[in-house]
Amino acid sequence: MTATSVNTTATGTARNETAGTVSTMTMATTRMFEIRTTRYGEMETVHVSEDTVLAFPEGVPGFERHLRFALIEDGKLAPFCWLQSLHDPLVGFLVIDPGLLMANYELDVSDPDAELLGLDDPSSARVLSILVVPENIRAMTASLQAPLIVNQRKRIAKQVILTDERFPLRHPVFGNDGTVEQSLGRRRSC
Amino acid sequence: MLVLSRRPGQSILIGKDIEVVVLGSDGVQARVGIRAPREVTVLRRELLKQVEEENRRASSGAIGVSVASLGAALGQIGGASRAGLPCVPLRSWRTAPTPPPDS
Amino acid sequence: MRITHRMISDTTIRNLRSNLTRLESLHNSITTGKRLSRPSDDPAAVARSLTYSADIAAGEAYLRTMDSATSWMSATDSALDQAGNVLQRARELAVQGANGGSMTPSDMQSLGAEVDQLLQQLGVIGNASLRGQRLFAGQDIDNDPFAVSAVLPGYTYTGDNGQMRREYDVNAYLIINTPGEATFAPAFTAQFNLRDHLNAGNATAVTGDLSEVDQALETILSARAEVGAKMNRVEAAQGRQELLQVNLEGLRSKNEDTDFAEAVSKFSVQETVYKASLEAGGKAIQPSLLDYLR
Repeated sequence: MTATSVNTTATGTARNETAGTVSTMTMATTRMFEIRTTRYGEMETVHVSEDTVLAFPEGVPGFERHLRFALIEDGKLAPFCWLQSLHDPLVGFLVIDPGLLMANYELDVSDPDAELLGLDDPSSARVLSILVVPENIRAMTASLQAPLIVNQRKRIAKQVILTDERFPLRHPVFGNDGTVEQSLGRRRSC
Repeated sequence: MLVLSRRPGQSILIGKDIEVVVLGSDGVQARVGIRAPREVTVLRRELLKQVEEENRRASSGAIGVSVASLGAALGQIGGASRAGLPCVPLRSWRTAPTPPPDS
Repeated sequence: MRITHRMISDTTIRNLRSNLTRLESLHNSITTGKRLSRPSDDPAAVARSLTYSADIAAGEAYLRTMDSATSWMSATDSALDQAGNVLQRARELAVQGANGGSMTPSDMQSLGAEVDQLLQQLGVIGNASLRGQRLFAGQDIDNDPFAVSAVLPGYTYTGDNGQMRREYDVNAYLIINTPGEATFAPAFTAQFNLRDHLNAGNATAVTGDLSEVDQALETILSARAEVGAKMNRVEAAQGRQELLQVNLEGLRSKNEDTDFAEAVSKFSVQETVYKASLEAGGKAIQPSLLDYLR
């Protein structure tokens, strides 16, 4: 897969280094992007406003060069959202609010992470979990151990890795197989 | 890679601020203690690898048939019944042209 | 810094709530605008809830006060109505007696006898009670206030002319009783005199008594008007308070409801995922996403 760099111009014209990944157009108030996405399995073009774009200064593990994503939440996939890489239309993630999956989901944000995110107030952060969807949808799992933390205001995000035993890397979304048990206390283990 | 031999109790300094203490080994596992400032993230290597792998699975699976069918399935559900669900933004984004209405 | 589970669920719930209006049309049992809090986590909400509870209790007390005030005034109005009827009859007799020309002394005395009956009746009416409590005794409700007297003014009053003051709303008071003596005195005196003058066959004096009876009637009627006006006031206040109670109850339940959005999200997500699963595999879905959510 080729990582395409994104070229945008200040006004109207589209200029892309590779075949049409992103083009921009100015609207009356918000800048809109036309992006290509494969959230339904097929390539399609959608328009998203620029405030859906998130900067991932470190990319995400495995995709370190993907520095910009658009978080598409138009309700079509609700309760899931779609995190679309702006570098490659073939890279995208189904995400969900972990608050729907588990009570008592909580996490520490380390100082370097908070600094990267420009996060002053933890309550202003938004947390999302990446989902792995196998062919059998019922076997869908959520990466509770590696949440995305989003600074909504500054539109900066990062995937962090937790060490809390309560939150596994593969949390079954639909199952009740008892793999997740609430531990009475957190044990730090790296 | 710098290779060192340490006995239990001995430590290694990395930079000025990071200390790795070899606590002991039972021949199979070595217990290691790490002193590092808060701003340094300490992770088991394989954990990061696991997350990388999981992200790759998430991305590839997401492109595949499964999410396509999920999307198609959800696309057939009336918009109203899903309207109250999270990830629906408080202010819907505007598009040009108008997107097709939820079925 | 820590992102707590509370922060995360607040976001979830906030997003849910922002779209509840659309859900509402679909799910009748869901009402908009419910506020969520967990009493154990939100002392401010608990305090508010207690305030609502106190307000609701106070409101209920006011409503009870208004109920009993209405009963009292309604009974008073009935008694005054009867007194009015008595006076009307006395008036008729006075008209007859004033025409004295064609009447014999014994005719006049028959009239006088009937007026005496009316006088006694008035005494009974003056002692009317509601559930054993005298309406016109002021605060001395356990004792008959009136006795017919053999001398002017025609009655004795042993009530205390006290006022029954009721609080029917915050700092809103009402005197619910009608002053017994002031209201009935003219009636007693007029009938006393009328009887004596009829018995004496004094048609001229009876003419004078007629206007006394009219004035006594006037007194009764204006007392009734006053009671009526008070009853209207209470009825209006009652309506307002009842509406307020409903709103307070609503606010209180809004404040305390912790499970609402969880129930909503359970339902919504379950429905969505259920349908998705059905479409995808045709198999019934197992527990929803929210198994662990408490």
